[in-house]
Amino acid sequence: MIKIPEERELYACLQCGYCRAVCPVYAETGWESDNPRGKLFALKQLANRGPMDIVLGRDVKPSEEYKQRLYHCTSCGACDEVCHVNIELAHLWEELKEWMLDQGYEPLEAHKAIRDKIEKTRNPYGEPVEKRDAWLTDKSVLSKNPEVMFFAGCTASYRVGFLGQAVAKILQAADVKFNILGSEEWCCGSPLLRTGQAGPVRKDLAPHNTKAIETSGVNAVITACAGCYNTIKNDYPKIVGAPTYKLYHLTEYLEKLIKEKRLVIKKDYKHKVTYHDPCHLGRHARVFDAPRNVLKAIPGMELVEMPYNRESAHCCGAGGGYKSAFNYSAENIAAKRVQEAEEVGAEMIVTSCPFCQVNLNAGAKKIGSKVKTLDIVQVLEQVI
Amino acid sequence: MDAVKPNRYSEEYLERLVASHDLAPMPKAAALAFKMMPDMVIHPKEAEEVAEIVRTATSWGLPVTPRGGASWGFGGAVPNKGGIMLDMTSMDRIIGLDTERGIVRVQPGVVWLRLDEWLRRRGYFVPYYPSSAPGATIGGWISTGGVGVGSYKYGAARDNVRSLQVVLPSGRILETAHMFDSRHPSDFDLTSLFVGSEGTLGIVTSIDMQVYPVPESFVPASYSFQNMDAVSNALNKISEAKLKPYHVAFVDDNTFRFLRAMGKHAPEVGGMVNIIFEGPKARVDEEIKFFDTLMASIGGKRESDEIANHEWSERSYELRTKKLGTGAVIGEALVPVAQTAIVARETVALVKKMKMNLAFNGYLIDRGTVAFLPFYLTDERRWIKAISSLSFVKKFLDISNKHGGRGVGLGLFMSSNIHTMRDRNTVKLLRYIKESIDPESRINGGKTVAMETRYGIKIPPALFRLGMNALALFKRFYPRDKYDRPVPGGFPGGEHR
Repeated sequence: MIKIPEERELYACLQCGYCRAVCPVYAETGWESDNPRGKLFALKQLANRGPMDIVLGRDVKPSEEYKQRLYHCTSCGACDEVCHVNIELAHLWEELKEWMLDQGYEPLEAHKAIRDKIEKTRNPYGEPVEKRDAWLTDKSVLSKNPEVMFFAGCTASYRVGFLGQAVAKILQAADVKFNILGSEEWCCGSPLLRTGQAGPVRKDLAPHNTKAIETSGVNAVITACAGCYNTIKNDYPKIVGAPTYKLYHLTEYLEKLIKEKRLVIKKDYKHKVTYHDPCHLGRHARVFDAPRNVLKAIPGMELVEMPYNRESAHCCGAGGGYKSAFNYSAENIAAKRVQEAEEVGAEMIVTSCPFCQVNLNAGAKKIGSKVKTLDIVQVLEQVI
Repeated sequence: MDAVKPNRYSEEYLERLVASHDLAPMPKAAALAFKMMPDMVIHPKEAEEVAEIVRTATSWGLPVTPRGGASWGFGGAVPNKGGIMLDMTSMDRIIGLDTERGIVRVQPGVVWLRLDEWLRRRGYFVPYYPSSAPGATIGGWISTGGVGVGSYKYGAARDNVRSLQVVLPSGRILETAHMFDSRHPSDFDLTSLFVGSEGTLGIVTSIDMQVYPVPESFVPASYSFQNMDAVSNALNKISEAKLKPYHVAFVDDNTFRFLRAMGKHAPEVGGMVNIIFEGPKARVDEEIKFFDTLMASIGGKRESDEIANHEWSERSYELRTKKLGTGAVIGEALVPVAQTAIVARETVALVKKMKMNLAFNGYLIDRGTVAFLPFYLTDERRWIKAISSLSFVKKFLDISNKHGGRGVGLGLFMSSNIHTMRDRNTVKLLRYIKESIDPESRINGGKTVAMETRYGIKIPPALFRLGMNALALFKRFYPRDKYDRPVPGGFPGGEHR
């Protein structure tokens, strides 16, 4: 007998289809089996399999096709937000992916490659561990007695070092003593958790990172990556227990610095800007106000909201391993989000997630849009 | 299927499986009677494509079932003989807004909430919609006749649809009305014929409907009462009042009791009447004052704005408590306002006899009529109990019929009920219309005006009634329903007020 995770929830599902109407992947493909309702209905047929299936000639079992559908998901959590009966769907999808792999199904090739790289090099890009802090050319800015630890994340460390540099510049401007974990910082594990490959996160990544942070003796950790933040905030406590440090997303910390007048905004930024809520920072970690308050503190900036914002923000398409496996579709989803920004007359999109930034820019390129996406720190470093 | 691109056509098992249901939790055994799984699923984009598919279906001898949001529970969007499933959600374009006439043209797969959001960004709104607006499609709801939120003031979908583009079973495309005479056709009102036909006469591919400027003021107010009798009295008084608010809904005490059993905050009241006001501010203020006085005079207590706003925001979430039992099944009937109290009392007595747990809510759809929506909790995993519990819906409709009411929704599963809703000659005429337009019973055949199995056998209404009555009797001999949901304080299953 195959034990399906959260089997009771399959029966609780009303099949109302509210999730269908907000699923970005379904909006792209149109297939019922790609939307949350369809996935739950199919699984319920498996949960209540019995002699009637034989009578009806139905071969009811998990299938390769079903596994594919589970990966047709950006982990955006929009379904969770509208669920009629409050099923924790975002969590359920991760559990189901892991469950399918436990049944002997292989992860998608792109996700398997990520796992292999993380297991070998502690980052999804396969880059050398010793080069983890290469993004920070001037190590003299680091403090041996820091107020905060900056958890840079793999993408800022290896791909978009300028984001890390911008963070360092802003922290210096606010006279914040900070340090980094360097080669002791491993991937937070988000790419593995979202793709059903939680094993290495439970066994190695979460315990290691937690130990590295805690032995450093800092009381506060900041991360500029929405994925790292969500993982450390919401997943780590389930694996390693309650943290001994306070975790901030960079925007929360910047909001605090601005409020305490430690960070002074000196220049105007005369642009019409819209803020894109990264799913992992917004819906998953409930950080909606901090980035907006930081942007509102910048004189001259006109901040306009897209019609779908905060809890109802549309996904950029990059999350959950979707971009790594289905890049074409992920960019289409991003292009729609860029069009929403165009419709409110924004010159640029500001966000606080490196994956959103990359994908939104790819989406804009695809449709020939002039709307660029910047990380919030790229804006802030220009005005301090 | 040459009419559509390969990426909009599927014969895959998984895709057919997930298209084989609507909201009703039908047991797998139902597939013995009805071939609920289509043979293929197609996503059309344009009317011409739909027409081509219908013509191809005719040449192949396949039935065609259009499906919208599939958020009703009568099987109208579920195949009974397999065939082609037309997933109309792929036709989801808002074509345009005629601000001069206040008419929006949409494809049928547009979701109600999305349309409203789109309109509001342009200064308009759609004031009539199903409570399932976050998931239901325009085409699906108008095919049910469309009574719901806002019908009290703005009428049903039937009153607001100006014209339809329909693909007939022959594959021909027609417009049901001309823009300029759509309100006053001097010949047959074809628009009304197709609205409410549950997708049995043709496939709607475009809809022109009335929309309205966003009102200056919009205020929900909640009034609590001691019991359901007092709620029923309030509905009577409201329907007789000289002023007419936008929407009037009610909720019974068991709805709140279920919510508390789930650990949610819910007011401890005997029932709640929610009145929604909208329009020019001065008019809204006048209406609020008037109804505050009226409700107070019959024992109603005006609850806080926080409660009223919450009640309004939950209008699309009336089945949150489904989790208690794992399942919930909804009945739906239109009942004379004056008979609300007795229908409520007899419905409660029925569920006591059937040893079930039930709550109800509803709303006024006009000055004389209440849409009464009971839902009972069930546990699909206890399938014998679950199947026998389905008979409640039929027994509830018997109660509403006895008191001058009528069931809502026929589709596949309740199509035998047409004989209790219409007289013999009317049923004959309805069948004649269906047969004239669709002589081969190609589009959604064997539904609404008849119940037909996968083998083409028509189920006689008497047999259906006999079966349902037997199941209801059977249910009475079973132990009282209990549920296994671990909830704070425990669920008081077994008791029913």
